[in-house]
Parts: sequence; C-alpha cells; structure tokens
Amino acid sequence: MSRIARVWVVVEYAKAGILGTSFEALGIARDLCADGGVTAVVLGEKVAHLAPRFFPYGADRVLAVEDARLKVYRTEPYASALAALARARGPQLVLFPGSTRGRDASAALAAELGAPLVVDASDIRVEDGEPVFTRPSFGGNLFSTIRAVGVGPRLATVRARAFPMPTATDGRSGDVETVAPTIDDAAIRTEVLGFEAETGSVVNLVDANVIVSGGRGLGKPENFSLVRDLADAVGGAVGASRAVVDAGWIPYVHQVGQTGRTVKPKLYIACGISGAIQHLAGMRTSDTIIAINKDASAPIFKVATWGVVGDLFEIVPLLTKKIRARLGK
Amino acid sequence: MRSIVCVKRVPETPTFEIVPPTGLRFREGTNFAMNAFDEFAVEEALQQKDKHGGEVVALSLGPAENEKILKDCLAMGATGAFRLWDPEFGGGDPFATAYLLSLAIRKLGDFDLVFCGREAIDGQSGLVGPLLARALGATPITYLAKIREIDLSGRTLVVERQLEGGREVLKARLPAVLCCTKDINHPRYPSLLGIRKAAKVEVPVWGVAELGADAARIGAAGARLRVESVAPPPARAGGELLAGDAEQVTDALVERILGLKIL
Repeated sequence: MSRIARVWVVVEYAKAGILGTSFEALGIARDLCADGGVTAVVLGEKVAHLAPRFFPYGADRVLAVEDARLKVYRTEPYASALAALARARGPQLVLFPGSTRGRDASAALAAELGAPLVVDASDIRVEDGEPVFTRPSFGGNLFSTIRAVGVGPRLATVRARAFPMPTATDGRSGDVETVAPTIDDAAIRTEVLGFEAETGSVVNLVDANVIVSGGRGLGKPENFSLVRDLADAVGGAVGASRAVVDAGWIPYVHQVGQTGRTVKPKLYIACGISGAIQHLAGMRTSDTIIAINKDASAPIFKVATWGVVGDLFEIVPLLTKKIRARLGK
Repeated sequence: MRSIVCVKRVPETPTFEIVPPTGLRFREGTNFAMNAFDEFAVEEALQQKDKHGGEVVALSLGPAENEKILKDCLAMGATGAFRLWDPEFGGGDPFATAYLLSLAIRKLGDFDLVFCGREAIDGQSGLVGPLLARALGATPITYLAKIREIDLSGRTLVVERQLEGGREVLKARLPAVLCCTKDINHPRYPSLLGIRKAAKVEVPVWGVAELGADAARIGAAGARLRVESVAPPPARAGGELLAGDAEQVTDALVERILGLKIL
C-alpha cells in the first residue's frame, strides 16, 4: 500500500482534557502516512505543553497554534487559522475527531478552502497515494466508499470509536513548533458568553463505553430509575428511544437513533425497547448488544448478541443487584 | 425580519435495496417526507416571525415531488416558497446544493436568518448549512438548541448550542445560518385553513437560467466527492436467546457481561 506524505490531525482540547477520538485519529493517520509525516495540530492560547501527549500515539511533530483569540473554540478564528496554515504548508489529508466541534471546524475549513470533506469516516485506506473513505449514512444502514475529486487537501472527520485506540509507544518524541497564526479579524462574528454544563448522570453517549437505554416497555417515566440504577451499577450512560423522549419522559440529549445520537459503545443494554428501525440505526454497530423485552418478536432481538424474553421489572433490578454484588459496589 | 428556511425531502425509513454499483431502490410503501430536523427549522423560523414580524420563505432543491414539502411549509405558515430544480442539478453533492441555495437566497434579496436542520437523516453530513453560511458571508451556527434573543437593530443574536456535555451560550452577528437540533421546539401541525390556502399557491421553479448557475459547480460535474460503491452494513453474528427463569438468565448475563472485561 502506498502512503500519504503529509497527514494532519487537528486534535481536540478543551477544559475537560484531550478528546479520546483525537488519539484514534492519530492512530489511523499513523497507518496511512509515510514515516515522519504525521502532524498533530493543536489550537489554543497556550498549548505547546500538550505536545508530549501526542508523540506516543503516532505524531511525528506537533504544531502548537497559539493565539489569545483561540482560547475558547469558535468556528471562525479556528477555521481562519487552519486555512492559512493549510494553504502555506499543503497537508494532503486533514483529520478531525467526529465530535460536534470537530464537525463544526472541519465544515468551516472545507468551506474556507473549497476542499472536499468526508463526514463521519468509519474506514480510510490509501489507493494510488489517494485516501479512499468509507462512511455510513441512512443511520448506519448504508456504507459508501468515497473518493475526493480535484486537487487540494482532503478533509475528513473520524467517527468516534470506529478506529482502535492506538497503543502508546513510550519514549517516542518529535519536533514541537509553536506558530502565531494569521487570523482574519474581520471574519470573527461570534463571542462565547458561557457554557452551561449538564449536571447529574453521564449523558455523553458518544464517548460512553457502556450505555443502558430504556423505552416504552418501562411503562411510565418514574420507571426510568430501573435503567439509571443499572447504568450506575455498570458505570454507563443512560440512553433512550425516540418514543420516550417524544413523550417527555427523559430529555432529548439521551436519545439514541436516527434523529438522536449514533453510538458505538462496547456494551449496549436495551431495556423495554422494541427496536424501531430508527432506533436500530443509532446503535446497531455497538460491539455487544443485550436486549431485554417481553415481546419475543421485537426487532431488537435481530441485532442482539444476547436476548432475554421476559419481564424487565423483574430482570433489570435483579441484574443490577447481582452486578453490584460482583463488583463490590 | 426576513428568514429563509431550507428543507429537504427524504425517505423516512432506510427501506431500500442496493442496485450496484451505487444506486438505491426504495421499497414500495417507503414514505418520503420533510427531513425531521428541517421541521424544527421551519417551526423555529415561524416562531421568530411571530415574535418579530416579517416573512419566512421556504426553499427546497429537488424534482416535482419536492413541491409537497414546500406546501407543508406554506400550510404551517411560511409566507413564500420556491423550488430549485433543473435536470442538471441531479447528482450534486452538499457543495453544489449550498451553492444553488446561496444563489436563490441572494436573488431573494436581504435576509436576517437562514434556518436549516442539523443534518438530513439520509445523507447525514450536516454540511449544507456551514457551506451555505460561507457562501453568503453569514455566521455559521451549528447545533442550535435555543434562540435567546434577536436584536435586529444591533444586528446580533444570542443562542444556545447543544454540544457534548452541555450548552454553549453564543453571541453572533446577523445575518446567520442556524442549523437546528431536535429539542429546540415542537413543530406545529398545519391548520386546515393553512392546508387549503397552500393548495392554491403556485410554487415557482428556479433552474439554471433563473439562478444564473455556473455549470461547472452543479450536478455531478460540480461534485467534490465521488461515491464508488455502496454496501449494506456488516451483518451481525447470530444472537443467542437466554433461556430460564429470572434467576438463571440474570446469572448468565452477569457472567457474560463480566466476561467482556470492560467494567
């Protein structure tokens, strides 16, 4: 397989730390790129000190783009700085994590450069020195193989958890270059006034290793406590079907499916979810799926690794209790 | 206030067969309708019109079948609708779509806000909104969850964006392109009177000539991405139904879950 000479990974860094998908993107970049060609690009006010975090996962060099205007993520200064750098240095492929911010930044950069962008790549390989992408659409029901047309850099966001987390190579190091970017002040049209963090249980479904989801089978909103308790026992996030979100049982941020979040946890436990096609679209690529439902003909059993036909009001609390006991919780 | 809302016609379910190399044939009975996220965009545009006055113009790119979703917009309360179509538009990608929408919006004149859905439930790229913003010189605002206020004289708005872990509060300059998520509102049903009025409206169609479109930037010729093949998702290995009473199945589940070694 031929390789690509210069690949950039625009890593995501915020108050919460470095987003995990950034490392997954570095791993695939390492596989696609010629030796010495992987650059981790990190933007912020002071970010050069983060460089040692990226070398063990595949970066050959780190470009620390430092400017007070980049302190908090905003679309326009990020896109402006990245566009100027990409024009000057000519990366052939620029990867972003498939987070809301990665999608936002990559789209703005694509618009700025007029560059082709593949959103949500689940596989990338190299043919004749060109990246060839695979991406899901129709809620994971169709996988398209795509090639970019024309000249200039190819951009892609990397689907969270689609690529393995690379193993860290200790002692690996490289060059760190700090650059003051060119940012078009006239292009800045926004000001971040604040961030209102969600409180309570973990709801970042995209990053969760384990998700426990509830549906209509729970009968009434109060019974979501069964799902929350099991999620708590397994250290997972709480998901939900569209039906119960639309019924107002639980906020939209929990919704898994075509009009909610697409997730790919290591373990997905569906409680009282029949498995409408729109729901399956959002979770069918989970590594392991457990379905608990009283209706043996429910479509959820078609994608389940292990299914239990039975009364969730009996099974779910018992499962929670036994897992707590085994984990010493 | 002048708002534009962009709507797409999509299959509501992924019920299709693949026709190699890249075609899809939808099964009989597959329902096509306005993209779910676009319904939130239409509703939000109408709610802002109710507050600030003015007009809401709906745009959709597509063949004659797309007229139905434009009539839906009119029935909900949109004040105008235009369909963008020419056989040469076929086979375009999000770049071509954003380009054509930008031409139509410029032709309509000054505007304050453009409303789009977060993404289409078929293509799921979410690119048209951001690309359209750049083409119009407007502020791109993705993942819009709430409009807090619009200051038309100061030419700014304050919004909330739904991101991982919480909501960002953002002040932005007008004009802006707003890509709406689901929890922003509850779309209204068209009134009977609205449906009757919409039925009588003639929806103009704008093609290459009306829009002054550059042939190199539309349709398959203008596409920056080429789909080489399509495939169904990898089949899941056959599942196993666990038998036994509640004690037995939960014991079996605990062993299997712990056996995954992920907790």
